[in-house]
Amino acid sequence: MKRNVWWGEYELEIGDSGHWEIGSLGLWMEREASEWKMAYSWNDDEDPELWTYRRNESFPDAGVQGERFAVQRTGGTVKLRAVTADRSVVARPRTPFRVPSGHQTRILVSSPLWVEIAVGPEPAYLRELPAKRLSETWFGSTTRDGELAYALKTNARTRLEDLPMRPYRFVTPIVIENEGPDTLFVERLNLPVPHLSIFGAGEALWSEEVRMLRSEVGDVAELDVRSGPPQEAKKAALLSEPRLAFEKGHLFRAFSSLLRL
Amino acid sequence: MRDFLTVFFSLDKIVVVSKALLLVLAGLLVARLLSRGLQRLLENRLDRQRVVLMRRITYYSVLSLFFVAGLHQFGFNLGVLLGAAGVLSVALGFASQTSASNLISGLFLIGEQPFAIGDVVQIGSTTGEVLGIDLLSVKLRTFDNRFVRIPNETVIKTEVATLTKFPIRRIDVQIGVAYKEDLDSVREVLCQVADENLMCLDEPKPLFLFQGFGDSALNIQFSVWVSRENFLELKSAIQLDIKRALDEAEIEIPFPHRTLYAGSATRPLPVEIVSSAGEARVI
Repeated sequence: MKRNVWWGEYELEIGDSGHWEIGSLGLWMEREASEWKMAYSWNDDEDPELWTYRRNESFPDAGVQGERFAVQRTGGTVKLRAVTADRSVVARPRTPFRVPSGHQTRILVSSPLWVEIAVGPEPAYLRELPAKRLSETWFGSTTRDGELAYALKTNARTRLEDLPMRPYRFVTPIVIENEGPDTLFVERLNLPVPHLSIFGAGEALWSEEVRMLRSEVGDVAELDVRSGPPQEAKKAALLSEPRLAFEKGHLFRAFSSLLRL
Repeated sequence: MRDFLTVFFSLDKIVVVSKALLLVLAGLLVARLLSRGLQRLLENRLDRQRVVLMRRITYYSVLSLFFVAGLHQFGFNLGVLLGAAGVLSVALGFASQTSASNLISGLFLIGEQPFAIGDVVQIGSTTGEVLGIDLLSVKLRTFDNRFVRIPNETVIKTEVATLTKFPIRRIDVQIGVAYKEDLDSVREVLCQVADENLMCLDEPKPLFLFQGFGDSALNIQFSVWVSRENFLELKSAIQLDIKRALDEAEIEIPFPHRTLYAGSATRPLPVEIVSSAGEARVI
């Protein structure tokens, strides 16, 4: 059966295997009577626009990481789910931009998602893997004070038509309101993805709209996550809940500051 | 003898001894209950080290109070006892200078808290995980799994580096490249290596530092930042990556060179030319 989307359930008989390519992630799953075999690897050089699923492709012998999951009796379902990264993503616009005082802008940032792998019918979570591996980065004003995050280069587009939709990325609309007394220079943007849900609209993936209100001089903004899918995908279905609960009006370091070493 | 036994085991004496014993037993029980209660109360407010210290202080203080009360039951004059203790403490003080010094250092150490249980520290030439900070010594587990006890006095006097204090660390790689190499290309290759390794932090940016003109090489320091958990893994991986990338870019990492100069009086050195057929001809 031809599928339009990679997330959802896949049936495998005993002795069968499935091979998925989602983003730069290659995933193999093989079902045996009382264990699941898993192998995965990443091809970081490729940035494919399509995903693939093939059955009974031979398990790779080398160049992959492998794992086994032992159970009493395996069920026939592999369930893949799209989830957000486990840490914040620091998006660096390829061309930094400025938001003058008293103005606001709405940009679209597309970030890679993670694939959660579970088996069924009695649900058992196995693990999650990034569809594209990102480099780590530090977000903070000093090397003592800050947080570890993933680094992401973004075009920070303002028009949906300019944004390529890829099956392993989800799009977050970000509204930046600058009510501070000075111009805001957006060189790096901290996107707290663990607070976001993922919605699926056809093959496109979205998260809620995020509003960042900056009211004083500095890098701190008030964060607001608008519940439900964004206006571009109003009928999108919820695929995964946020990893972390969100408190409205939460103040956080949203924009870059000069790192003092 | 019989008289003595009669006196010794007289009812009064038995009552006094029982009272004293009961007091000590009650002391043990109360001290244990109080110290445990205090531990539960402080567990969420103070760190583990301080909780343990408070528990011990409470336990031994309460126990000594009951012990003294027990002695009092026996008819000991506490004034004389304290006087004797004063004299004894002078003698003990001389005898246990080192222990006292360690004890006081231990109190300072617990108060100052340069590290906590579970941290990885370097004390002098020893690096390891802190297993315990006691009144007399700090106990470490080194990475080759040895148990090392370091007296608190030594810890106070020595430079101590806590390796797990901050979430990120820097790795400095010292590299020498040949004088003929273009440093801009070297910088480009090194930055590319850092960019491709996902463990290298994107920010703070890698640092390329020209250290000077060495005997045989241009000395460079290339520093990359990494999260604390990946420190050891990257420390090895980044050097292997650098070696591989420099080899690929045909950038020479020279070994020490020596130019032999024997002065103008020296005859020219003989040169051997080998043809493709392997025949050697000496000029």
